This record gives sequence, C-alpha cells and structure tokens, in this order.
Amino acid sequence: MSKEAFKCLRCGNTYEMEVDSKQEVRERVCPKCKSNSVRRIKQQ
Amino acid sequence: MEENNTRVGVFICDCGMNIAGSVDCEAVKDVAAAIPGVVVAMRNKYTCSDPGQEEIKKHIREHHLDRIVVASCSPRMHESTFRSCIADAGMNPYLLEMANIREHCSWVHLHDKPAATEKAKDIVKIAIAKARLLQPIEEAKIPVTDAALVIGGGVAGIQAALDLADAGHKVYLVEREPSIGGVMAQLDKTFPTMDCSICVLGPKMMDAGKHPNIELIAFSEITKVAGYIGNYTVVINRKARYVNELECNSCGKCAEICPVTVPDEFQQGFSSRKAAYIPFPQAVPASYIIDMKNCLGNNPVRCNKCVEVCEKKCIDLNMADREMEIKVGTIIVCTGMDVYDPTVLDEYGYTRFENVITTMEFERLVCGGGPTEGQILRPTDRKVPRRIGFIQCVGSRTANRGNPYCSNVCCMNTIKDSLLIKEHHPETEIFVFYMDIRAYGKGFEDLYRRSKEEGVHYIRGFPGEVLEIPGTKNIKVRVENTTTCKVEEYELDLLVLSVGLHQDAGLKKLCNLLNISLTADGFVMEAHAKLKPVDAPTPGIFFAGSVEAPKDIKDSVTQASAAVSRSSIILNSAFIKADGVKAVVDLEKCTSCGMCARICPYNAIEVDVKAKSGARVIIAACAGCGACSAECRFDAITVRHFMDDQILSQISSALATDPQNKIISFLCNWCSYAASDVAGISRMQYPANNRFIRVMCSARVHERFIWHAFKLGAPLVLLSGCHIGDCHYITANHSTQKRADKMWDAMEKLGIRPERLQLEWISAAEGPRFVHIMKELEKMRKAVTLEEIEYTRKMLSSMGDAN
Repeated sequence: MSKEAFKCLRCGNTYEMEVDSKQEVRERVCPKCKSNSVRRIKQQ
Repeated sequence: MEENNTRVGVFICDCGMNIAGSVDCEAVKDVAAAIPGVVVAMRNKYTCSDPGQEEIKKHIREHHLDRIVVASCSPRMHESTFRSCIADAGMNPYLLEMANIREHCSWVHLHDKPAATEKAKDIVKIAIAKARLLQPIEEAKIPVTDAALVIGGGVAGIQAALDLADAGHKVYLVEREPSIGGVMAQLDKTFPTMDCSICVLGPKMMDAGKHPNIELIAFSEITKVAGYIGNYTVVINRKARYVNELECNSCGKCAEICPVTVPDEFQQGFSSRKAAYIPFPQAVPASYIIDMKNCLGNNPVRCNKCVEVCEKKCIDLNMADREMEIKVGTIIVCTGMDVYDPTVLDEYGYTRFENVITTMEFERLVCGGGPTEGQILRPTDRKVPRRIGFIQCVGSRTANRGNPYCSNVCCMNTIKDSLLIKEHHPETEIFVFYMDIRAYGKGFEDLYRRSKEEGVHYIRGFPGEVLEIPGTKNIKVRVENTTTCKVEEYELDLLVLSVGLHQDAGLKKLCNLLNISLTADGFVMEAHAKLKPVDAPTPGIFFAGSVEAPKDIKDSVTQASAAVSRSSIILNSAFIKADGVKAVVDLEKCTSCGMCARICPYNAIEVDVKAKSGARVIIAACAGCGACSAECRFDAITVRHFMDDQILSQISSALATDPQNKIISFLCNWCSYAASDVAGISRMQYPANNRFIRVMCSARVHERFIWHAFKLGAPLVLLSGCHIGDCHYITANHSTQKRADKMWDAMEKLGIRPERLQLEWISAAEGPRFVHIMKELEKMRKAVTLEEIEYTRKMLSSMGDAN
C-alpha cells in the first residue's frame, strides 16, 4: 500500500488516498463532490 | 457501397405528443430533407405502429432506400422493432440508425421548444451522418446447448425447473442451501387461499427432485460463468455435505446419536437441531447433512459417533468441496430475497423484549410443523397470548433505517396471520398498526374484509413507543391513531413486527458473475421494465421471483413460467443468430503485437505473436465491447456498426455548427445511456447543450474521438460508462479509466486543461445522477473560454493526425 495524491477535475479538490498498486483498477470518487473525474497526481 | 451513393430515408416520429409536444417535428423533417443523400424525409404519428412500419417498408421499395434513420424513442426500446421492419422490406437490418429524440430530447426539454427543436435537428443530423457509413452485417449462426441452469430452489426456481424439464429440456437446478424450498417452505399458510404452504410446495419439491430431466445440485454455489447466449459454461462449487446424499435413506440415526445441539435456523431458533441434521422433514434432497462448523468430528477430540451408527456408511467426515462444470444455453436466476433484520430498529424493542418477534418467527410458531406444533405461545412464559399486535412496514417505505420501497407482501401476510390467530383462538384481540393496507390482488380485498369482520382492529398509525411491562413481560405500545387524532395505549401479550424484504445477501456477487445490473433498490434490472420484464440485459439470462422485486407466491410462479417461455425460445432453436456487433481484423494492418488479445475481457482474440499470422477474432466469444479497437495502435481492428469513421462522422456532424455551445458525451449502451433513458422516462429536465454518442462500451472510445471533438471546437467532452466492477463487458471499462489518465496527461502537456475531459461512471439506475452531471457539465462548459477553444483547435490542427 502506498499513499497517492488525487485531484478532482470537477471541483478541484485534492486529496490523498492509500492505494494498493497490485490491485486492479478501483473506482475513484471525489470525497467532496462525488465525481469520478479524479486524476492521479504524479509526485514530482 | 460508396458513401456518396447512399439513399437515406428519414422517418420522424411524433410519438403522439410525446415528441411533437416539445419538438417542432416539421422543422426537423425539413432539415433532414435538405441533407445530401436523404431521399425521403417524412413524419409519422407513431412510427412503431403497424401503419408506421408499413410506411417505412413502402418507401424502401418505392425509393430504393438503402439506409434508414428512425428519429423516435431510444434504440434500447425499439431498435429491434425497426431492424425487423427494414429486414422485412429486404434490407440488411444493420443499415438502420436510430435518432433518440424522445428520451434524449423532447422529454428532457419539455419547456424549451426552440432548444429542444435545435437539439432534435442535431440528433437527426448525427444519425444521418452515421447511417450513410453503415455497412451490412451478416449475423453468425451459433449452435445452442439445449440445457438450462436455474439458480435458486425457492418456489420460482422449482416452477421454472419443472416447466423447462416438462418441455423436454435438461435442467440444472442449483440451490445454495442443503434443501430446495426457499422461504415458502417456512410459511404456515399462504394468502389469499389460506392453504397449507408446505402441502402445496412439498409435492413440487419432490417432483423437482425426481424429474428425469432435472439434475438437482443442492448446497452449491456458482463460482464462475463464461460464454454467451446459447453457450454458457458455468462452474459450480458443490460444498461438502459429509453425507452421500444419493445413499442416505434419512433413517435419522446420525442425528439421534449426535451429541451436539445448536439452534435450528429453519425454526427461527425457537427449537434446536443436531450437528447431524435434515433441514426440515420435507427436505429435498431427503438427505441428512453434517454441520461441520459445530461437528465434533472436525475438532481435535474426534466424536465419529454418526459415522459408526450409519449402517449404509453414507457419512464421510473427510469429504471435501468439489467443483463441477456444466454447459447451458440459458440461465434463469431465481435467488429470491432476504427478510429484513429489525435489530437496528431498537425503538420496537426486538433485541430487548422477548415478546417482540418477527413475522417469520410467527410463521414458525403458528405452523403445525413448528416448534410448538402450531400452538401460538409467547416466548417468555409459553402461554397463549390473548392480545396480539402487528406493526406494519418494518424496514419498508422508509428512507432512514430500512428500504424505501414497499415490500409488497407484508400487508396481506399480516391479514392472513390475523385470520390464522382467529382460527386458533377466536377470542384473541388483534391490533394492526399500519400506514396503508395494500390489498390489491385477486381475492386480497375479500381476505382483508374477512379479517375486519372477524374483529381485527386496524389502527392507522405507527407506535412511537414500545415498552416492556416489568413482571408480566407484556408489551405496552403508545401510538397516535391518525384516524381519531388521539394518542392511544395498548397492552399486548405479543408484538409481531411485519418485516419487509430486501436483496439476497449473495446477489451482488452473483450479478457480477453473470454481468447483470442491479437497480437502486438492490434488485435485478430488467432488459426493459415493461416489454422484457423477465429478461436480463445480458442475452440468454432471465429471472423470476423476488430476485426482481418483492412479490408473492403467485406472482413468483407466474414470472417463473414467463421466464421459462422466454428461455424456451432459445433452447428450442438449434441455432441462434449472434449479434452483428463484433470485432473485425484488417490483417494487412495487423502486426500481431497481441495488444488486442491482452485487453479482451472475453479471451475472444487469438494472436500467435511468434508466427506473426495476425489476430483472429472468435466470433462466438466476442461480445463487441470494442476495447480492442480503441487500444490498437495500428488501426488493425475495429468493431462492426461502431467503426471509427462512423463515430468520427457523428462527432463532426454534432459540432458542425456552434461547437462552442456543445458538449460531446460518449455514453455506454448498458449503463450511462440507460441512465439517460431513465432521466427521459422520468421527465427530468436538464440543459439542452449535450450531444450524445452511443457506444456499446466506454472502452470503445478511442483517444482519436476525443481529440477529434476538441479539434472541432468542443469545449467539453464526457466519457461515461458503467461503474467499475459493474461493466457489462466484465473489466473493459478498466481500460477507459486508464485511457482517461493518459488523455489527461497528454492534454496537460499540450496546454489544454485536463478538466475539459470529464469521466463519470453512471449506472442504469442513476437517472437523477445523470441529470445532476448534465447540469454540472453545463456550468463547466460555460467556464471554457473561446480563447481556450481556439488555442486547442490550433494546437491540435498543427499536429495533424498525430492525435
């Protein structure tokens, strides 16, 4: 498990979440606006 | 056939006032008539009616039409109708395109006729653009396995299995529990006839158990389903019974000697059973089973008494689960429902007061085969209760702790119970606390009247307080009687909670295996609520009974026979025609890289990477999702009827005028498109700026389509499909998510705001959510500046075909 950052492309909310890199695709839901337009922010 | 030679006929349906009420159909017709290639454009009052279809056929013959556009309702409603219609006139059925100007337009823009009309014009133009590029498709003939799987051995499953078997088909009847019978086996009497439940069901259970065409597979669960209509391969886990069910003669000696006693779940815990037990006397298969969770034989100190006492040597404590694989042509799902657990409703005292019980517990108390042999005794003192109350709608019709829907059977069940009590003890006072009594079926009102004539008191109002009286353990109920507007108090010996019904605990897992969706209520979704009420959207799968919605025995049996009828249409055919929407490979372009085979959720593509012989599609296995096509870097594989040039032409047509005002939305056929239909059917209103492009799966949406939309000036693009885990094509929408990620990165690199590509998972039941998203997208569209759009156009145009 590792922490990854996400940004909602609907409301702009950014948040971090534990992600299992071995796991298949999981549904991303913005905790604020419930949109699925959630983009993984790559760490620089 | 070349594009510019097509002869298109456009038939615009008024649908009475359903479309013509909010769309100027004459103006839409005029626009269609002016489009190059359109030979005929005309209006019909009801295009789906016989005269409407005859009109289409007549014009096909008179004008030698070779492409048809029907602008009417959703293709999910009438595509098959119009395909058959044009096939009757000698055309290939795939040369039809539907323009959904009802669910997507007239019904969702009821109060803005100009906007609805402009949108309808666009929808028709988009359909014509695709229609001109449609190609005829020959459907493959697929052999059918003449066998059916019935999942669930309640009354619906038993009826379905017997009907199919009597019709001469091989049936596998799979039941999760050790015996078939379901909830009906636990009931005492049935309404409205008041006949003995097990007396009605028992013979049917026996018939199912011994029918030569039925293979009963009890105490088993489905673990894997593969294949397609006519050819499903199903893996079943047969859980170990530790008793050879074929050899067991139900002598019961194992249970007699078994030293372990546990609560009997069939009797709702009112009595006990042994670890070696038969679920109930009428169980089918009539075999004992060892409850290994409680059996001492599985503990370090071995008991083994049952093994020693069994003369036929049927017991094997080392028995293990085993898998079996079956092949069937159709599947009927009859997994029933669960009864609501009222423990969360603490105010009714179910967890605190022994004399508060549920209706299922009451069924066992009143049943002659129950723990009290049919004597109604209250739990605390085993005395006959003289004042009994029923609270209706426990766990039903509530948005808070329970389910929002009516559970359908509870009112009549309570009425039946009240009469049973009166039969046993006529002097008993009965009080029913209710909000409405729903006695809508044949004979139901008569039963309700009888109950009132017998003196049962019906009090309109739900108790606000339920208390136990110390000492007597009686139950005091305080209720506002909304008929008299007075707060009343009742002292009861026994209080029965009339609990509702809800989704079976294992249904979601099973639906994932079968690729079928659930509604917001948690029950299975029909292919069409009215016209295909027992068909799942996945061809070859049907359902019956309470798995579809709470229903009584009669309705469950009726639905079972209906599902059998639908299933038999397939099983009676030696061959069925496969849908023409299949992947097709251009071997000249194929490099045998194997990407398509890797992404295909159905393993329907074979590629010998070493031999470089090109990809090969197994037509029978291909489901037509198009994930392969969107991933192929060499454009070597596409999907018939959803070809690149067809979709690109739809986008071009949609954005031909005022692109800055339009949002392009790609909707998957099964979920988001279905949700848009639900929004239409429900007359939910949303802004008219969206232009929808239907694809079978969101995974079909090639990056090129999105770039094309942006290049033509679209301010916003929506990519939408089934929720992750609910994809109609198993995991195809995983590649949609990955593609969106890739697109967002690329957009950012090009200086295009990633926000302009939106991704939403919308289930077929989420009409309101679809509308919410449409409204949100319109807000976002307005925030996209003309400068941004222009920059995007220039940037993408300068890159040529790179995108």
